[in-house]
Amino acid sequence: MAVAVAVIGKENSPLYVRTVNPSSELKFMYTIHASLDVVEEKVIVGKKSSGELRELYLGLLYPTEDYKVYGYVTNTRIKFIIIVESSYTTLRDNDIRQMFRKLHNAYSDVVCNPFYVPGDTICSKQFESSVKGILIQE
Amino acid sequence: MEFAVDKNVKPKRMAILSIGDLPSELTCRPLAVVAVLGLDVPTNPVHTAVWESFTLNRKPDRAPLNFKHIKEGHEFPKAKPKRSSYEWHVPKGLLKTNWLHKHASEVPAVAVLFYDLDWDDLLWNEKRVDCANKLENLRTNLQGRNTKIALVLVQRNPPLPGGEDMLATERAAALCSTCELAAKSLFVLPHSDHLFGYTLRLEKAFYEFSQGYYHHETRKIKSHRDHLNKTTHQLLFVRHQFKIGFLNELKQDIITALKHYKQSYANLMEVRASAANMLEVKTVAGFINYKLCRLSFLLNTPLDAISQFRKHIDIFKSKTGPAELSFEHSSWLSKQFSHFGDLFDDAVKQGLAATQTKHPGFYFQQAASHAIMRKELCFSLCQNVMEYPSPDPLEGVEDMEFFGQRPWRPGSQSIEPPDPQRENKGIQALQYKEAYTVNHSTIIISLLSSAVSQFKKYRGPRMRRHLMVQMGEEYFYSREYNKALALLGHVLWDYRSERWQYLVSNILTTALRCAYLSASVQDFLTLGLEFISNWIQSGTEEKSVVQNGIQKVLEGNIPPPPLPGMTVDKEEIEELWQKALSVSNEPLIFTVEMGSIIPCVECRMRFVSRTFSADERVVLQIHLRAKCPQPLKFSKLSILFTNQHYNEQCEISDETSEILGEARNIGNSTSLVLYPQKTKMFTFSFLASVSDVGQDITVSAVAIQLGKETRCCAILRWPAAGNESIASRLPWSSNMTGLGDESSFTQLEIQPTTKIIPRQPQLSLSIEHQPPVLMHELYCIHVKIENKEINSVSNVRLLVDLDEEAEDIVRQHTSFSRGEEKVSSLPIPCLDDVVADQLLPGEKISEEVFMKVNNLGSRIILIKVTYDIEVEVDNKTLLCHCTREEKLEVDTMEPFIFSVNLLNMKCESVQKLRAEEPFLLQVDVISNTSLALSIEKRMLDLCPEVKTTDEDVVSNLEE
Repeated sequence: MAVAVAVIGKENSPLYVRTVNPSSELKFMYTIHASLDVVEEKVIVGKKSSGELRELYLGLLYPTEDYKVYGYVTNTRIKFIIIVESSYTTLRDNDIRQMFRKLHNAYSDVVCNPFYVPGDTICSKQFESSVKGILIQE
Repeated sequence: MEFAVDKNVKPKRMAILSIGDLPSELTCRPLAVVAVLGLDVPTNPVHTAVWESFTLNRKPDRAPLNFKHIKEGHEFPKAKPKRSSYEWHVPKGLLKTNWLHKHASEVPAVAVLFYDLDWDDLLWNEKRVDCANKLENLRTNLQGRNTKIALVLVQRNPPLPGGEDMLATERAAALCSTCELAAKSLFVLPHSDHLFGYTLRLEKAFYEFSQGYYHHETRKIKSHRDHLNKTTHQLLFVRHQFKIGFLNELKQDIITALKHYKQSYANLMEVRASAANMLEVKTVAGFINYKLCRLSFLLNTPLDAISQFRKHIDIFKSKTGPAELSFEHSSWLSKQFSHFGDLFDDAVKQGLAATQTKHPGFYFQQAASHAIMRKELCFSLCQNVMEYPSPDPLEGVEDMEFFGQRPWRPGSQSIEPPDPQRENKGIQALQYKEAYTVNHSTIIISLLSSAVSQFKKYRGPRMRRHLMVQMGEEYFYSREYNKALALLGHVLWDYRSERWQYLVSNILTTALRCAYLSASVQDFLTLGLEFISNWIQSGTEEKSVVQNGIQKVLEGNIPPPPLPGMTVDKEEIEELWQKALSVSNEPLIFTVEMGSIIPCVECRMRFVSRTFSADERVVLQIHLRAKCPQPLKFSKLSILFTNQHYNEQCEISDETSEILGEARNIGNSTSLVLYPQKTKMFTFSFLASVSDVGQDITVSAVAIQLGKETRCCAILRWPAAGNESIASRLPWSSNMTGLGDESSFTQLEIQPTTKIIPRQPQLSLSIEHQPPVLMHELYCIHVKIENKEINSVSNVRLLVDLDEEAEDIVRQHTSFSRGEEKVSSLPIPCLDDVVADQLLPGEKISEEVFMKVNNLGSRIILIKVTYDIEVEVDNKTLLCHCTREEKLEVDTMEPFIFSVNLLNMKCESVQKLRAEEPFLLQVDVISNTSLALSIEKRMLDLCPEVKTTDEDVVSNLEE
């Protein structure tokens, strides 16, 4: 399961970041932020092969020594980032896709709330509990 | 590499290798060694020319040989006597430290003796014997080696073509037999114009010899294998395969070399690694892995290199070795990554294409992170080591026989635990060296900067920034605050603009510490002002301390340490601040662009109306909202307009605020203090200058000044909205979260521009006329002007013109005039006259304007009255220019229509006339207007062919 989950806005500002361990939050923040380089690149490449619908799931962005960073971009350019531990080898691509699908659904629910202004940071309890389901249980 | 062995000087001792370092023989390209003897360089010019033709300009297309000039009396390394059996031999280590150097540059594959001898030499016999002796000496010198020997005769005369030289053939055979030399090892080098051509051919021959030599050497090592057994000679399996690999590299057979290195690595994995020999295993594994990766890149199989490296790291990542020396493990890992990064980078330089997610930068980054880990481990492990143990347990480190062994127990391969006391002394020595002789920051920073340049190349701007933050932090640790500030300041912008609150807060904290510790006044104030904003994630306490610090600095006092938990040398810092704030310094005045930092005070400017009349006060409101924890006092508020004329009218400073407050009717409280989370409004009102009537007045910026100009002051400047500032792209706080005061502030509309419109005229203008307009008529328009102002007006002008959109043809056929007589035949499409110099209140004037139109159609006439009036506003007399304007649309028509009929004398209509026959001409005039027209005169103008029959023709009108 994931060790960090992030929702990044259209302008690359963080809307929601949650990590398993608050003490390593800073490290994950930097990892998530740096992964946007790859996301941007992949989205541009995705655009070029135009016409058809772009695949939202971007796959493995880049592996660090201890973690794997995965990305997902919605059609409204909202980015989801999930970090899992490299040692967690039983995790399949499909499991990651599943996590992103969950996250996307939860995000859609947030946006459906008429009191939520798109682009604001997310502070919904329901979203929080969905993310908890994705994060690794300590 | 940290050490470079000068190849010409034989090192007496091995350079000391730090953990993870590679010997230079391993990192350079192995070349077959060719020993050159008998050349007298540089005294003999011929010999020098020969030597240079071999050694200079060794481009890649030449044979891969390493020529070594051997002086007379040189001794080659002695060959060890051949072991007859391995039965009782127990190896003491993996790789000998001297072996690589010996074979990479000392033991020749080919030894070539150069000898000056022409076939027809007068002293042929003597020289032949001398030559044979020299060769014999050489052979003795290389006893036990299989070095190929060759003889090159340097000759003055070019050889005769086609081998017809009987003398040469005969003498060559004789020489060979005297020297016990195979015919194919004897060469002739005529010293002629074509020296270089001969050199190339000789090189090729030497290269073939060297191939034979190295092939033979590898066979020799392979032959040992049968004598070895897996239990006692496990180390030799590794060593021998490594040697075969290296000799194959010297032979330039990379594929075979790779195969043997792989075997060597696999054999090494079978060696039982314990705490005692872990370092040795890791060191040699590092060597072999380096070779494997290097050769894979060379063979253009980069993915093999990457996967080998991955495997290597995965195997050893967890093999930390003794806990007390765990920094050694981090150091080793760091080196592994940086070596691989270097190899990758070299491969890229040779044309390998790297990608955004696979490039050397990642390896340098990882190397840096292990180096950081090393530093941290060193801090925690070596803190208590105060002295270097005596006697030196590390003595003899430069004379180690094997790579990667501990100097206090060399050659030990026993499984039994080592002497604990000696071991502790050794560990203590290593810890001492780690703590006192290693400059960790330099290592980390240089790795980070390598990574930064790679990420720059492979489109990783954010990763690059992250690395720059790490570099900044490292500079901070190594007390190079200015460098740290420069780096952090550089990257803060980007993190801010993407609103990474957590990261900005983190970076800002480090930067603020740097500014404090280096007593940099401007940085401290700028960063501090940013830090106290409520957007930054930090405790209110800390922010209060920082804000007080800012206040103190502005007053010329030393600030308290901005953040708790800073271990600082208080006296030293205070001294620095004392110096920075000393009164004798130039006053420090600088501007902080609030649009480009996270604001601790937000500003919204608005003109209360989009337009102001010229005789009205322009009202401008400045709303300031403090977002810092403590009240913020400032000394001056000023507004900067695009027209600087107004700047001085809108300024409040703490000295003048009260006087100004009364005199200029400045609204609200005038004290220059902003309270946290409260909005304060300042109202300015002023009169627009006459020249700005019809123009816009725009605020370009609002500025508040903290501190005194005489000492130190920071000017906080907000640009008017619409600039490309970060504030305009994303909000600093969401609009929904604020309540009450906050939300009313965020909902304030920013209105930095207003338009000054002319004063409303109070003069009435009425127009009377009677349409329709007939063509060619002098059409009269009555204009009545009445002064309804309370004052008299002056300079009353009447302007009559056609509408701007009127076409040229209309303009050319229209004339205006005042009074009938003046109507000109030329078109005058515009009239502009002073009709009265002064009009008293209530006074009326009436003007007649005539218009003559010479074509049909409708037109719009513009009638405009302009005048000046003096108005009194706030005890000030203002001259206003007012305009009243009316539009008139008129249609022009023909007054009447003619129709002419031909009739015969019976009054019947005819089409044709006959000559000399009288006829009647009937002219009908039909009026076209609703007006009664009186015809004044009529006339018939006939052509000369037609004559009237009557004597006298008189119009009906006149009858």
